[in-house]
Amino acid sequence: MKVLIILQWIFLLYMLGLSLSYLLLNLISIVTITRYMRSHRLSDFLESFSDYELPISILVPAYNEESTVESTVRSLLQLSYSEFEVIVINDGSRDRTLSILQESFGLVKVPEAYQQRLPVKTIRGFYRSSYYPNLRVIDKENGGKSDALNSAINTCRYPLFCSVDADSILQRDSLKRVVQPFLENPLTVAVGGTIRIVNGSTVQGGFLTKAGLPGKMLVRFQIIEYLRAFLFGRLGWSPLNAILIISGAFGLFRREQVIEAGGYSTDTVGEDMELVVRLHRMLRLKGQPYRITFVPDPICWTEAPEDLSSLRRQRSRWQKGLAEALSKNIQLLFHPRSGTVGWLAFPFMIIFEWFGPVVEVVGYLFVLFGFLTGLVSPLVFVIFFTLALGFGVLISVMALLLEIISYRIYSEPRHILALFLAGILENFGYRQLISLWRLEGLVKWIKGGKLQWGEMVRKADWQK
Amino acid sequence: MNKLIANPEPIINLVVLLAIGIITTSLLLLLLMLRVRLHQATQEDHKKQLLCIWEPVLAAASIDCFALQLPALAKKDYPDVLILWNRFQESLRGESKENLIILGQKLGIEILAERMLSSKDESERTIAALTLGNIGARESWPALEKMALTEVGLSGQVAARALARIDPKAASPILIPLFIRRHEWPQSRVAAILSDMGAEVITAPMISALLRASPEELARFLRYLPFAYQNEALEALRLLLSEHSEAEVLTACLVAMRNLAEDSDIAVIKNFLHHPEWAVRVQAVNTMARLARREDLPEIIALLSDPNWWVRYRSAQALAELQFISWEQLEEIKNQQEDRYARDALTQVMAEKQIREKNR
Repeated sequence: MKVLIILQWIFLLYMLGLSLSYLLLNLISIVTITRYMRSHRLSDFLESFSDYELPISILVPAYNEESTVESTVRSLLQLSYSEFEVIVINDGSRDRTLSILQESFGLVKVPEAYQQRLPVKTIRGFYRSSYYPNLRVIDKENGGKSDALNSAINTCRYPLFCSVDADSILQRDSLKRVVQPFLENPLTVAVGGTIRIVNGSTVQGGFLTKAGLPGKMLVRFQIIEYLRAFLFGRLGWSPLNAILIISGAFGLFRREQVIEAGGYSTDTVGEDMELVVRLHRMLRLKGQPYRITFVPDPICWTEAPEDLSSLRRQRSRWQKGLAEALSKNIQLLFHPRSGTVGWLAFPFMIIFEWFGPVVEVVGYLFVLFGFLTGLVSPLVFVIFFTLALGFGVLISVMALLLEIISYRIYSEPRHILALFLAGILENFGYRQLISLWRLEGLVKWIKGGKLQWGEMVRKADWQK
Repeated sequence: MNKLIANPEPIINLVVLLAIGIITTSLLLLLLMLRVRLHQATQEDHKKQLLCIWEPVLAAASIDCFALQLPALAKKDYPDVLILWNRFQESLRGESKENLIILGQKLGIEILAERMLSSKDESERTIAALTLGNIGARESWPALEKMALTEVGLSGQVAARALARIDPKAASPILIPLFIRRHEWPQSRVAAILSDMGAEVITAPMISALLRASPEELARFLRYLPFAYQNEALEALRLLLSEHSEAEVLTACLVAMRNLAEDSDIAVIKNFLHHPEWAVRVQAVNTMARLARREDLPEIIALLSDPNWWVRYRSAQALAELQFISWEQLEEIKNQQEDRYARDALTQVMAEKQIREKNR
């Protein structure tokens, strides 16, 4: 009995802690986004001299991306920015990724001397486009996404690099927006951008022309999750200089600092998060002032899985990556010099993200077990479930509210109601499933195992 | 309740209260969201209507502002019209700008902007400074100067630009030292303001400020030197190169010198080809790419074997850019290199040159 009572209190306190943290993050996000929107409404009045923008290398790791690589590269080449190069890294694809690039962009093999500052797998060749002087392709042996990114970091020419997934769709002015924190604060070492889900939207010529809601409920659930993750998950931590995740789909980094930190880790599946946490660790422990920040404008669009098996793989992989990133940098936790990262963001991540699935799944099982054995009355069962449901809906509604006061991508009342409905329905099965898959990710992390590229069934039916 | 686990009341009560609170808040938030959206939609419609009325008025006023009948303007619509007026101002030149200023006076926007300048809201102050700069409101100079000197964000930058627009000559001794201090202001915006002010106004204060700046400030501010008169800028660079030894300053001086240096500077620049810091060697060899003569070749070729990749690569590029070196001579230089790294650098640069020439 005592054990059960203790467990009840643990679950309740966990839920209270999570709610309070999310509420606080939400409040910070509302203040931050309101300020951001106000200042950026007027900033375009001031002309900028494009010669003074920092040049950027865009790195596109590609593994078996024959269906999307050409359109991605074409849209990247049309980005509006004064000086940038695009480097595609073919990581030993088994499909026609390289030959499609060769045919579409007139690639010519060139000898290239480069400084190998990060260790990488053997490079088979360097190519340059005969049509676009700012397009280069690295063909290398398969070594995983991190290895592919590291090989491009070795050869890229510019002080900032931007990692972009081969299926990402950027807005034409994405680079201009994401580089702003680097121009405004020289201490900036990394900037993350907001990722939105492209399913249901219209894409023409490699750019998003109309945002829309997908018909599939599974994708709508993910839209709600993305709104939560980006509109206050990241925005809330940004003013505290404690963002621990910059999505691999779109992030801008200062090259020298990344090389100093050792580049992307090749023995983790969450290389994007691990790099950011490691940068925090390196710079905090050295006592070096820096900023890792976040740009809330929706600047990158990505395809969400539409089938359960792809979603399962993705979530299990993300959880494994998170566990790896945190465990590898555990030194940050409560370190005297770790500041807001080590004393706030890191413990939050450990309690609510790392162990979250364990508490959630055990909680569900506990209540179910109690209900079935008669230890918990139907009334208590209903009350606990209502609490969990209410909490889930509240967080989703807050994210929606942030969306409405800021970017209004989903602005029509029917969109709002549809997403509100999705915010309710996701609590009936979807959330539990996600918790289970995340738990599976934790089990995989404990077991360890070989790294592979995260493969997903791509429909790309939004593309015209 | 008697089926519940031991002593459950306090926890159950708490959970019930929480659940009720959370669900009520969620529903209230949903209602708030719909209301906010409705309010936004009404505002957007109103704004569209306002623009439909005022855009043609401003367009007509930019051609002839005297024969115009002005539509009524509600107090709450002033900020939107002010923004629109500024957008027109930014896109027009010459007489049209003057006409819009006359229209602005008819509307009383100067008085409104002056009032907004003391607002607590930063975005209101920013619009005010923008407007006063575009009007050329000399009376607001002290307030704008204070704003430029004390506010670090966008409002400070806009105030600085307003001063530059009102009186560039009087603004330059205030703004140039300010730009040196404000390292957090985006360089691209500072550059735009300096370019707007013109070389005639900025050259003297810029050079005098540079000669007094700390090495750290110098390294950053030298990037703006191309906006000054070339002869004066070159003189200042020569002086700075002779007086400073910090690598960041030397690097910045050599970058600024790339398009300005003359044949008489070759000897000085060549000295930096042997500097212990690779960043200095890279910039020196970049500058040599434009100036080098045949007799300078051995020193550039020697850098093909530099321990730093960038120095090797830029040296190879410098050689490939020199007009008096033919393709065959480049091949010969490459074949003469005993160092593999030197050969690799030249091989890469030659391949790049070949692709570029093929595409021409």
